[in-house]
Parts: sequence; structure tokens; C-alpha cells
Amino acid sequence: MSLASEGARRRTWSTVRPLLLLLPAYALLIGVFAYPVLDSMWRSVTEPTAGWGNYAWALGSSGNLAVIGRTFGNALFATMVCVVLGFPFAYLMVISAPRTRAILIAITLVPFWTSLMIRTFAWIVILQDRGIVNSLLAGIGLGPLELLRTNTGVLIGLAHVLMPFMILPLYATMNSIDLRLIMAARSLGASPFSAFWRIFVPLSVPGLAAGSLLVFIQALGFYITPALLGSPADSMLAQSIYSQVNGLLAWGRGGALGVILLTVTLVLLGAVALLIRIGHRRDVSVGIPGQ
Amino acid sequence: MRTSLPTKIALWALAVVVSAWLVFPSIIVIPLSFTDKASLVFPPSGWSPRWYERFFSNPAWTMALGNSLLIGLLVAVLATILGTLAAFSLRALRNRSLANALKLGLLAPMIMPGIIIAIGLYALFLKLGWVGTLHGFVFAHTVLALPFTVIAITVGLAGFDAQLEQAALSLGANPLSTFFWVTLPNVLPSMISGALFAFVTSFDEVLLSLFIKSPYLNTLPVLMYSSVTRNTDPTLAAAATLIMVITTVLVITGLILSGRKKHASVL
Amino acid sequence: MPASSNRGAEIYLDGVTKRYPTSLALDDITLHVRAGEFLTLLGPSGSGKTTLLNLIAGFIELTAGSIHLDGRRINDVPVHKRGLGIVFQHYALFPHLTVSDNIAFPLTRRKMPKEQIRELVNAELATAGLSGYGKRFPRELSGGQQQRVALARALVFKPEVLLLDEPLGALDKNLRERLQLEIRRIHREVGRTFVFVTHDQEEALTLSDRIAVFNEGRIEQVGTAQELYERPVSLFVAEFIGESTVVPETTGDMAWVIRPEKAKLLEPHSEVPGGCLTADVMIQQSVYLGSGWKHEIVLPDNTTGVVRSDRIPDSLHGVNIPAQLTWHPSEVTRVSAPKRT
Repeated sequence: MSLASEGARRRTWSTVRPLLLLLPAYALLIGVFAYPVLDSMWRSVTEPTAGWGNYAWALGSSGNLAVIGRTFGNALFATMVCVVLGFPFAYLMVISAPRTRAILIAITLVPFWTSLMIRTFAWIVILQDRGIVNSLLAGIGLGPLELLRTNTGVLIGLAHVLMPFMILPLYATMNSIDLRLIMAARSLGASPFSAFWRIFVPLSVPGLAAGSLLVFIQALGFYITPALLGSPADSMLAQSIYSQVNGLLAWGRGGALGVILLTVTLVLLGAVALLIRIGHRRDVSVGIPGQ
Repeated sequence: MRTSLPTKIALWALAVVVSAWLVFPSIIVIPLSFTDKASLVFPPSGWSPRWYERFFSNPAWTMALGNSLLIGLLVAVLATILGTLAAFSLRALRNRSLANALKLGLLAPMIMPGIIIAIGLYALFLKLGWVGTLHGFVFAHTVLALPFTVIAITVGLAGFDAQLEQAALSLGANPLSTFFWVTLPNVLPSMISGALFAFVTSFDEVLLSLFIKSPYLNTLPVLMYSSVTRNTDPTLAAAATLIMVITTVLVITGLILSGRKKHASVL
Repeated sequence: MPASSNRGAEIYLDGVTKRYPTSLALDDITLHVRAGEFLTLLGPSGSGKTTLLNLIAGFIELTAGSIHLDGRRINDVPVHKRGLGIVFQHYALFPHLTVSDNIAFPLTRRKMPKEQIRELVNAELATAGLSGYGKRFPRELSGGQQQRVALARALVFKPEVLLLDEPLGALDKNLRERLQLEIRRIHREVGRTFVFVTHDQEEALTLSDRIAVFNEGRIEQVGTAQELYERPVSLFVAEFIGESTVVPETTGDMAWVIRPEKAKLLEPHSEVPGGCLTADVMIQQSVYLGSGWKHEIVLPDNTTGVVRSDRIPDSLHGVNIPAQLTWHPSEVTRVSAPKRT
């Protein structure tokens, strides 16, 4: 055998061998993830009959449009709550001393590792008719408020669960802002407020955008929280999918709603990726030394 | 940068409220689980361990706990093995854009809305007769856990200086013993933290499990879910506290391990 | 592995070529490293010197040519069987092993008895001035100490050849100079072949028996420090090693390379000593350095040069003074130098 073909074979082998190691993971991923997801997409255009009937149903009935509208509304509202509360919180993290900052980060991470089920259960306890909120309100002569099994309850739960996804990217972006820029703006005659508003806020936009989209996208697909904190009359998209498939065995209709959810999610994720790339480019142009 | 005092006070007031809002729902179940009353009134008027006694004397709860622990363990093992192989493979690939694309594929379950995976899996498992089976649960949860092990081990490998392997070879170690004596010990912490996150992912999972459970095979979060929808008694708080203790211990272990790894690679 | 002699092995590189898909990293290198010598591969980054070291070590494969160690072709010998000691740029100490275990690593790979390993490791620690540090982890040591451990680990198994890849690059200037002397001493004591990679010409001049100057994947010249300084074969070598003034000949593609101490500055139109050549220059400024003067000059083609002198006429002191540069052809070199455009 010639040396050249020996070398070529060795090179081919060195490309193929790593791919062999990927095989088990991809086998699982294709069998238990890609195939089922594609299958339910397929069902959305073939069951019960071939065609776009399921999509006509999904986007044509007023009930469904109400669900889709409510899903978007809730996601938007939860995102806004997260921005309003998360921005100052992240800002405080950036300007505080390392030890305080570590505590604030830990607080942000607590909900991350407490299971969703536990937190939702806790909100039931807190929001129920004779729960903590209402007994506090009764103490000052107010209430009782109906919170559990209402859309308000859902919104409180959503915003709570998703808050870390807003704070962490915001913090990461704000932390990379050179605070000397603010001082420079002040030295050039800007008031504290206008230095903040014209320098700091625009520079934190990439984090704000990434956080908002993360929160929004996840809120769109939420199931457990609205199912337990809301009423069936206030259901969101994931609940409709659940009841179509698990209750009515209407695979096609569930699939169609799923495809709609997925499409919106992927479009928004594309936006996140784009923003992160823009933010990254900005970092580079500021002159952070690379390897 | 200086911040004026009124601004600081306002920021802190808001931060305290937000912190309470973030933390309170996570810890309120602990005192509630020790209440002596049969209702979830806060603060409890007296203390008693009886909800834990009830939890452990009810075979439905203990079996669910056992199932969750078993499934979590198997998922941790499987996801770590698959994730380790995948991470090493991604490192070895010369074509970086191919490697990045393949990595993105492995992370796909993380960005897919859970309900979409759930209905697809439900259909598949019905077809295969995997609903309510141990391996069904393990495969389903491993799909969700795989991105975490891949990320953890990829990060660990990125912090690992490949020159150490060259050094080992130059000192006379053959490729196999280089892997076992040099590469593996340095990547082990990230493998362990990946395994812990995989366990926690499985241990907390509700949505997929709701579809693929059966009356004969149930996990703890699923049993909580179906109990919550019927009635809320403090046994649930006891179950929640148990889940929390287990996951907290594991997550903190994982964070310490991954933190130490980072420390070592920086110096 | 050959039984350890006390002279080190010789390395013979025959037409070594390394081609990457988009570039030619090494182009037909032929080089003979003598047994026991200290040879430095010197060149700017990207010139191929580290690639050559990696080829000798066996970390990368040759495109063409062959490598011989004491007459034995080692192209296809895997890294772990070449038995070469390597000191890496960033030390590559195993972070999960103690200093002792790091040094013991090559010995345990060779299945040496435990007792003997302990003795050898302790001896190495003592030589490196690190007795008592054996139980520490690498990250608990200073940069200089880590460097010593890396050297000890590469030497403990008595390799015939030691390859050093910019081992002092990460250290500050003082420590660098101390370790240079230490490496020089170690080379004398162990008497093995050392191949040392650096981009620092001063370091190369201090350490080496011979230096191979690399440029764009080729070796420009191999020789002792003195040969390279006094008789550079190309403009690249002349400009890379030491200071010089380059005066192009008026006709042809040749230029004179004049070292600072081989040139004299005279007043314009004054008489030139017999046999000397001359060029009109402008003295930009003169700096007194204690041991003499250093003059920065500008040639008519706007290139700059340096001249050293004990003293010069008062009339040449100042800024932007016209002068004559003179030199004797026997004291300088003439190299090929395509006209700059």
C-alpha cells in the first residue's frame, strides 16, 4: 500500500471516529425527540384528513383566537413585569459591592433550582381564598381578593417563574458596560439622569432584548403554571394542546396548535440569536482583547 | 460610579420586595410541612412531624419517591455517558462549523417548548407501548437532560488545556493511559456536575411525565400535580420539602464542583 | 529506548515539509542538530519554528521528508515512544497532581519501582531548589517555580533530547535572565541535546551553541551567534539579529550591512581613509550612553541606521546634522537586497 493512501485513510478515520462517539446521543435525540416532534407536525396536516383543515380550525375559531390572544397577552404582560422589576434589580447588582452582589445573584438563582411544581404549589397556598395574601389584606380590613383560578394568579406565577431569565442576561450585559463611560458623560456636562438615560440604558439594550425574548418565548409555552393557578376558562395555548391531545385525542388539531407555537418560538429565537451576535460585535469593537 | 442617596434607597426598597417575591414561594413550603393543622394556613399555629409520617406511610407517595429517585439516577448515568461521548466527539472534530452545528442539534430539546415534545412523545410511546414504563421515562427525561450534560462537559473540556495531553504523551504515557490519568481526572468535576443537573432535571420534570405516566408508574412531581388538582393537604408540603432538600443538596454540590473546576483552570 | 549515554542524541532533519490546506508552514528544512549541542530555533511568530519543534516531538505529522534520531528514522514512532523531554510554553503541569506526582509521572509510566521513583523525584526536587514543595499543587507555586518543575519533569527520565518551546515567555525580565543562566548550567551538567525555540534574539544569543534563524517556513542561516552577527547571509538575518545600518549599492541588488561599531561618522567632504567606502547621511540625534555615543542616522533613501562611537567631532553634535558614513568592506557583509519601492 502506498504511503499517500495510508495517510488519506488515516485522515478519513480521524474525521469519522469522532462522529462515531456522537452516534449514541444522536440516536436518542432522533428517536425520542426529532422523530416524535416531526411526526406530530406531520399529523397536523394529515389527521383526520389530509390538508390544512387543522390550521383553519386553529386560526379560524373564535375560541382558539381568544386562547392565542390570551397567551400572547399574558406573555407580554409577564415580560413587562419582569422588565420593570428586573431592570432596577440588575442595576443594583452591578453597582453594589462584590459580597452584596453575590447575595443578590444567589437570590436570583433560588427559584432556578426550586422545582416548578413546588413554586406553583406555593403560589396556590399563598393566593388561595384563605391564603396568606388574603389574610394579610383582611388584617388591614381589605379583601378578600379572588386571586387563585384567575388570570391575575397566572400572571403572578408566570412573572415569578421567569424573573431569573430577565435578570441574568440583563446583569451580564450591564456588568460589561464600562462605568467610566458614565463618568465621561458627567464630565462632558450630562446630569446624572441624562448620563444614565443616554449612556447606560442604550448600552444595556442587548441584555434587555435578550432577556425579554427569553421570558416571552418561555411564557408562550407554559403549561403547569396556568393549569394550576388559572381557571379552565382562562387557558393558554399549551393547555389547549394538552386537552386536544390528552383529552380529545385530536392529534391533528393539537399538532397544528403546536406548530403555531413552535413557529412563533423559532422566529423569536432567531431574533435573540441576531441580537446576541450584534451585542457580541459591539464588544469586539470596543476593543476587548481576544486570544 | 456614585448613586445619589434617594435613588439608592428606592433601589434597595425595590430589591427587598423583589427578593422576597423571588425567595418566599420557594421556602414557604418548609414551615407549612411541619404544621399541626390539616390546612395550609400560614403561619402554622403549631408544629408536628405528622405530615412526614403520613407521607412515608402512604405507599403511593413512597413508591412515587422511589420511582423518581430511580429514574433520576438512571437518567443521570445515561445522560452523562451520552454527553461525555458527545463532548469528546465535538472537541475532536476538526471541522469547527460542523461541530457547532452538531452541538446546536444536541441543545435543541432545551429550546423546544415542552408541550410539543410531550405530545410527540405521547404518540410515539402509545405506538411502542412505552407509556408507564421505566425505560420510557428514562429515555424521555434523558432527552431533556442531555443538553445540560453536554454543556457542562463541553465547558469543562474547554477549560482543559489540550497541551496537558501532549505533555503526558511526551512523558511516555500511551494514548489510553493519557486519557485515564490526565484527561479524565481533569474533566471529572464537570461530568459530576453535569450528572447532578441531569438528575435534578429528571427529578423535577412534570409536563412530559404527565403524558407518559400510568397508574402503575408515577413520579413524585406528577403525583403532586394530580393531588394539587384534587385537594391541598400538608402532605404535599412535606413532599415539596423533600424534593427541595434533595435538589438543593445536589445543586449545591454541583455548583461547588463546577466552581472548583473553574478555579483550577484559571490558575 | 536507547540506554542513556552522557552526550545526548543527534537529530537529522531531511527535507522536512509541513503543508496545511491553506499554507506552507515548513518548506524543505534540512538541519543537523549535533549530539549534545544547544541549538536555538529563532524567528518571528509564524515563521515555522514551533511547527518544527512539534514535528520533532511527534505532535503533528510531516507532509514530506524524514526525521532521524541517532540515525534511526522516527517519522512513524508515536509521541509516547520517542522518549524526548519537552518543556512547554505554559509548562503544562498536571493541575490534578502534586508537584512530586508531576515529576514522577514519566517514571510511573515506565513502571519503575516505587522506591526508586521516590529517590529520583526527591533528587530532582533538590536540584531544582524545591525540596519541601513536593506535596503542593502546581497552582500553589510561582511562575518561576512552575518552570523549574516543568524542567525537572522533562529531565527526570533522562531523555537524550530536550525540546523547549519558549519556556521563559511567560516570565518577567529578571526571572527570565536568572532562568536563562540556570538552563545554560543544566545543559552543561546533563550534557544532552537541547533544542530551544524562542523569538527573543537576546535570549538566543545568551543560550545557544548555534542558532537557526527561521523566516516564512525556511531556515535563513544556521551558525554561532558570532557568525550570525558578523556574517549574516541575508538582510533578514542582519535585521533580525542585532542593530545595523543597511546601505544599498548604487548599482545592482546588493547592500552593505554595517554593524554600529564597524562604522564611522565624518564631517561632510572630509578625507576618507584608504580603501573605505562612504555614504552621505543625516545624523538625526546623538545619545550619550556612558560607554560611548549612539547616533541615529537617516540615509538618503529614508531608511534609518545606528552608529556607535567613542567620540565624534564637535561639529557633528546636534540635531539633523549632515555627515559621511564610512566603513571598510572587509569588516562588513554584503547581502542581496532587492530595491525597496
